[in-house]
Amino acid sequence: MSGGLSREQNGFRERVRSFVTNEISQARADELDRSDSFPHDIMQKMAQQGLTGVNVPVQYGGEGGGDLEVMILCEELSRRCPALSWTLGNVILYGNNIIGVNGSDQQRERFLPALAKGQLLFAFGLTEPDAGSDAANIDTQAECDANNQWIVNGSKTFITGGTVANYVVTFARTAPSRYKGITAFLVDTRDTGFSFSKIHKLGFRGSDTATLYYDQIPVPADMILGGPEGLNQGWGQMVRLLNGERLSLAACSLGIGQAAFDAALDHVRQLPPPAVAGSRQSVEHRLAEMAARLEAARALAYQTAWMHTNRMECVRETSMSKFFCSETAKQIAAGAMAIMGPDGCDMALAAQRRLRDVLILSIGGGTSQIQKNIVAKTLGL
Amino acid sequence: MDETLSREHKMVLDAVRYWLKKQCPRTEAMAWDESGQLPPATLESFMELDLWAMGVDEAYGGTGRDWLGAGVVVETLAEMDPVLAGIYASDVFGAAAVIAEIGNDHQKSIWLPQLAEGKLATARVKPNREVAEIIRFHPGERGWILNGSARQVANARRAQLLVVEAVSDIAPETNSFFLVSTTDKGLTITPSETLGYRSAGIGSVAFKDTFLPPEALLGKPVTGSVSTKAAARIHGFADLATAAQAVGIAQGALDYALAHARSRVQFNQPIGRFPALREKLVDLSTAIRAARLMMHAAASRANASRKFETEAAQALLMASATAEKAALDGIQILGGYGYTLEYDAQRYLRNAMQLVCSATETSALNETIGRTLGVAP
Repeated sequence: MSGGLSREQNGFRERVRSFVTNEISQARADELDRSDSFPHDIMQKMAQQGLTGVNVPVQYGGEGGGDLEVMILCEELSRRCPALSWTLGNVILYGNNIIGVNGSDQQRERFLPALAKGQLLFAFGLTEPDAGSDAANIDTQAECDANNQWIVNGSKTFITGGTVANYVVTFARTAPSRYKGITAFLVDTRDTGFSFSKIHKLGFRGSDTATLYYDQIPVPADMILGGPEGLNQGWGQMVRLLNGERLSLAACSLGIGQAAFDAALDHVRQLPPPAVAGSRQSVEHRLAEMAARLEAARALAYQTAWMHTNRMECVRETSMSKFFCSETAKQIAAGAMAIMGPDGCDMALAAQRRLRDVLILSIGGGTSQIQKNIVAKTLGL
Repeated sequence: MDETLSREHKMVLDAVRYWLKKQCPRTEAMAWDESGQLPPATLESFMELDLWAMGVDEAYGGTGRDWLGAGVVVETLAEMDPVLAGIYASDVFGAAAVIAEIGNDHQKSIWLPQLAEGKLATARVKPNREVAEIIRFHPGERGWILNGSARQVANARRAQLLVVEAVSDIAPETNSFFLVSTTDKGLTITPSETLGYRSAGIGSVAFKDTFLPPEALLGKPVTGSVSTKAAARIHGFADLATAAQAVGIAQGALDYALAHARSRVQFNQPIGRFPALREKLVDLSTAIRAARLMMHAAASRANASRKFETEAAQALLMASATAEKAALDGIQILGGYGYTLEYDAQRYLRNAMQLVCSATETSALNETIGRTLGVAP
């Protein structure tokens, strides 16, 4: 796939692809799924290859790429092992991107060089038990004490990388206003008031997900995202990240969809030729439809990425990309399993894992239903 | 529940539901799935339900072959644990039905009384033609020789008796059925690790020059092949049994999602009241009702000794697609919770996909239905 991408971007895709081929065997991907433990070893390799710094500005030691490079990375990793795009997300999305977009100068200088080297992991702490789709309904509280420190109390759930993160960007209520009373704090997980319990998931295993607990955690004002001026700006800061996040989740979907399609195609090719010519037509047509849907999804996502990179308004298009790519990939992953028959459900093969993995992509980062609400709104409804 | 069911059927279902509530609560069903083991005590208590007689004629110790009754039992069990449903379905639809259909008197008198009591654990070995599986047989010295294999055979590791579908080297388009004891030599059963039906003792069954005595063959001893009509009925029974499991899985997935949609509040209201989610739930309930009625209608035709294979195949197509959709939508409706192993939505999905992948041969179903429509050879 080269349409619309620059020579450098296509070169970057080749670089990621060969990293995946050389460094992440199918067996390692299976093992990650089985053990469900965070792949520090692969993270280290990715850091050595400079992948942790892909979207960090050059002056902070990164490669100076943007959301498009992040998409390419997520897509290519997801073809082999989707969970890695999320473990890397603990650096490039929740670290590099959050600090790069919303951090103060001081925070950029402090965190970006270490993030680029893969020495720090960040998590994004927004969702709570009663604030899922209704994200502004958060109940985690932060209050300013006499020493001008903020004291954070509450809990978060479904937090990707919550067991391993050095910092959790924690959204807490600092004023009554629904949207203008939310502040994002960079919470140091070494604090004794911080604890977590791991959540066992159907897919994306190895990308640790956790429920987090905050008990009287003090956070200095300069650890508000964006510095002290970031007070009550959390919702707006979060919204600025959404286009990029939706695109990267769309890219994960494309990677899984492509891998599922490739496996189904291989399966059919390896069957003995049909006894009666043409009798395989219905399976062939199913594959043709999958291929067409996948092309359409990819075209939508990369066209949107181009708009986003060129700073055009694209909330509608990123929301479309998010739900269209994830729902398409879900259909393809399930359809591929049906074509593969017993192989589709064999735990020794990856087809079943792709369906387990893909299902979170139409849920996390705003469900398909929420994305459609947004699209409808931008259509003037 | 289908209001067309008789009082007797409803009583049987009440007994099954009561047993499920007592012996198979959700936490247990989830634990068995995780460990891949069904406790022997549960199986024993399951046998005591005395449901197996419904699949066997009175002459052989049963209460008369009642495919509708057996179908709704399968369906109801599958709502909570499709593995139990599959055990019962295999014995009744995969073994008793086949033996009654084509077995000779001697074979019937040996096997059917044991099956009527639920005392014979069976597995149905049906090679998947769609993925080029095949089991062949040819006459040997004083018996038959089997070669070939089938993957992901449910209950294979628990079974004492396999009902094996094979084709003759001479006439590969006709089916024959053999009864094979799992202790026979030359037969290997290898455990399969599968996405769903994890406690069903699923295994690959392989024959390598396996010798079987003459009486292992069901039906005509000379050519070995059963009539096309009989083979179609046998496939119809298998389709009915799978359709019933699919209907149950779909219903179980919907009920689970409904409970969440009614209680989970976001934006100040239960999420089920949002029209988009309500529509999903409504569509599922509609499709499940259609699939169930189709399955019941096909079973009723079988009870009335009418042709039912096309109807059973149609019921399976509908039920299997509905189970997949219900399970996928169920996870979506539960959102993040649906993705955790702590919640049960994911078990419905894994079981539904297992059924879709290893028990729904779409091309064979299309041929069965297509023939009735005059558009298949």
